[in-house]
Amino acid sequence: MRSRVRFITAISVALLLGGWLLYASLGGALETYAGPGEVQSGSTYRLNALVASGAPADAPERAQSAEGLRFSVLDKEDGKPLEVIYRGNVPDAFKDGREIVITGELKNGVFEAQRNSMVTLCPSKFSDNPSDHEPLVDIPDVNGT
Amino acid sequence: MSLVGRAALLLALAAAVYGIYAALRARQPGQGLWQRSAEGAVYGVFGLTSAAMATMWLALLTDQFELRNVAEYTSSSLDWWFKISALWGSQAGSLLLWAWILTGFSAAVVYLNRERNRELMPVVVAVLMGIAVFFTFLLSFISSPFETLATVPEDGRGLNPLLQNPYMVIHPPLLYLGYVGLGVPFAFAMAALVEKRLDNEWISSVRTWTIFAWGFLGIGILLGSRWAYEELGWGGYWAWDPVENAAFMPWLVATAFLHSVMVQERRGMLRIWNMSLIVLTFSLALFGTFLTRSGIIASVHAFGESTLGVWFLVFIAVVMGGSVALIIARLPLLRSSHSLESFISREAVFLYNNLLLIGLAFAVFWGTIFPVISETARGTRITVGQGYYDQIAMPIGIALLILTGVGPLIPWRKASLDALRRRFLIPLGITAVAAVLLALFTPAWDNWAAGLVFASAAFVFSCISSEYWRGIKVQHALGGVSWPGALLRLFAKNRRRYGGYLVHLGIVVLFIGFAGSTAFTTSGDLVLNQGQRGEVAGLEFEYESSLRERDEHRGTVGVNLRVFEDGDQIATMKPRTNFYFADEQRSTEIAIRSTPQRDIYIVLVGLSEGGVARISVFVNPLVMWIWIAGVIIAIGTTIAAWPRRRREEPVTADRREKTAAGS
Repeated sequence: MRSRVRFITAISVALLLGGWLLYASLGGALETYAGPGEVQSGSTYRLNALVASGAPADAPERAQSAEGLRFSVLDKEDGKPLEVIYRGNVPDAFKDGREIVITGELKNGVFEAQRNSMVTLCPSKFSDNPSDHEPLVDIPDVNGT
Repeated sequence: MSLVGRAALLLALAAAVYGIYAALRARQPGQGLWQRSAEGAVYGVFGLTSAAMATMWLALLTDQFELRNVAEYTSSSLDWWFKISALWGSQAGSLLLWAWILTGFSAAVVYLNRERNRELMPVVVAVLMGIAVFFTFLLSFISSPFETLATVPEDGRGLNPLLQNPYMVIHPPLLYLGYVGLGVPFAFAMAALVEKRLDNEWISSVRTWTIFAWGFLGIGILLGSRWAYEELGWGGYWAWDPVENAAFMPWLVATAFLHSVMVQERRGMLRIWNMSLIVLTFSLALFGTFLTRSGIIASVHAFGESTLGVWFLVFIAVVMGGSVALIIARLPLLRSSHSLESFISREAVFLYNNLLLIGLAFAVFWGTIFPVISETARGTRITVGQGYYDQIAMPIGIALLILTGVGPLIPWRKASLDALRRRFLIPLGITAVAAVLLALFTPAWDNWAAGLVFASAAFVFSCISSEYWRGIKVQHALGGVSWPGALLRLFAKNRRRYGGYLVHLGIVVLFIGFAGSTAFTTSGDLVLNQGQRGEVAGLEFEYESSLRERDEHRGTVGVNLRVFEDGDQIATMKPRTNFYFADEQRSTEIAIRSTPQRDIYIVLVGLSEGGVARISVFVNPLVMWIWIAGVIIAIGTTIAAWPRRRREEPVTADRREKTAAGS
């Protein structure tokens, strides 16, 4: 019986430790998914939006330069635009109308993305919905080209 | 084409339903005919899904663009091997591959057990055919790979250039062999529960399956990371993306299962635990398939939202609910025949290993589904960053690594302090020496976690070596063999044990690769004119020349760089960027120079009209060891899983297999 008590104690200690590790790790790493209309300054977001048309063709090079890559994104539902500044690796799939996710913060009305945080969502893979191949909203030309 | 494929799948569905019925009829005594009929149905289902696969491949190879799956994933100019792999590029096609592998495995199970496990087989067949019904139903009515388009396009859309990579040809099938293979031990476990035959027989019957499925899953995951490393251009190979996690979770739980079954075989303990693990493993394999299709979680590999999600959730609920109910019903029969005698014993170490693996799997699961939970509970979609996973995986990973060395050296039941001292003195001494040497001659301890991994690796390596050495000494003392001969005999005598140690060695090497490439990566961006040099991580890169080419499908720009180390040229590297006109898609061809010491990894970011090149350089130490580890693990797995000669196996023997297994 004594061994059973010890066993239960050991398991509880392990669970507590695990729980604490889980809690501690979770605390610093939370990021909220948001569209362009929802981001507010002061906290980190994962911005989920569509690339507005007129994104520069030399995006990868601009993203590597000191000034960074500037482009506009649109909300997937209501088409609300937001300007983004980004540095780092630009995935091959980046282009007009692509759905992207970038992590960053809103500063002075511009979304400043973290380095190398851009992820493009490839629209065709594993989809059985034909409309997935086309953007859900019309893409007005807000990049001014 | 479309008609043939659809008909084959519908007939497969019908045959699978019949298979379940016949198998259940066969449970009554004296119903051997029904069982033979059920097993015939299994072969039939496999034949029919094979016909569907063949039809799909034929359609892909002959450019039947009236089929949606052909038109959207291939084009007439695509190489034939990419046309073949385009089958699993689409959602419906990948389900078809799942169903085909499943029915193939089912047929193999029926064949291999035609004279064994007769009392388990009816339920095994019923469970496997139940899974087959689910998939053929989806393929027939929800997501058909043979859907036709109203207007036939001139040419197909083409395969995403990212997927035009040899690793993407082989990675999905391997992963599926793993996922689906885990269904076989699940079916045997269910049969054992239903038939109340809860001794160790079902476990030894599916040992080979489980190890192979586990191995395929692991190698599949590694090849996937290799693909990401070579194609995605951010210099890394693992990002804790939901899709990666989806494959990693069942692997973790299967790893736990492989270890804890040994405790059951040896000591008759952990029976309920093992049943639960195999149910969890298979459910997670289904969950992984679900995650990549449901669109509920955003991912790099982003699968569009589809209608399949609900079906999968229902099926997972049925699988889990049914098996948990069965386990509860059989609880009295699942009692352990022994209890844990000491916290310092082999079985206790297995228990720690299990808790860590399951803990890690749970943490990954929690992180993966966190966005869904937070959206349901609070209305905002909150996700966890990579930092969360790294922070949890690192301590658990190091603890697991150390246990890899400790476990095999600790005796079963109860270890005396004296025995421990004797066995661990030398490995600990070697570890201390290695730690000091690392500190003196390498920067390993600049990052304490990495230093800890390297020191633990030395420890585990010496532990495993001492195990091999003890075995070899015994074999040699028995006489008649040379020293290398003794090693071979060791492997032949106990394949599972010494093959398993080889897998452990592979894991050590894997950790060395992880530690080096995670802790000591350097990167930098360079802007160079022709003839200019730039420096990253002590290496110099000289922009020697550039090229621009175009043909009818694509344009290519590239630069040739000479790489210097300490003034000597060590390589010429040629990063390229392709631009496909058809879908306006860029495709970066990364230049990688791999040596055991480090990888040099160059991405051509752009080449301006004026000839100014922008490149990103990553110097990743020790990455090559990750792929070497994959090879070691594959070899170890094969040795461990190789079927034993039947006479070593208790109970039923199959003479015909003897010759095949022994060769």
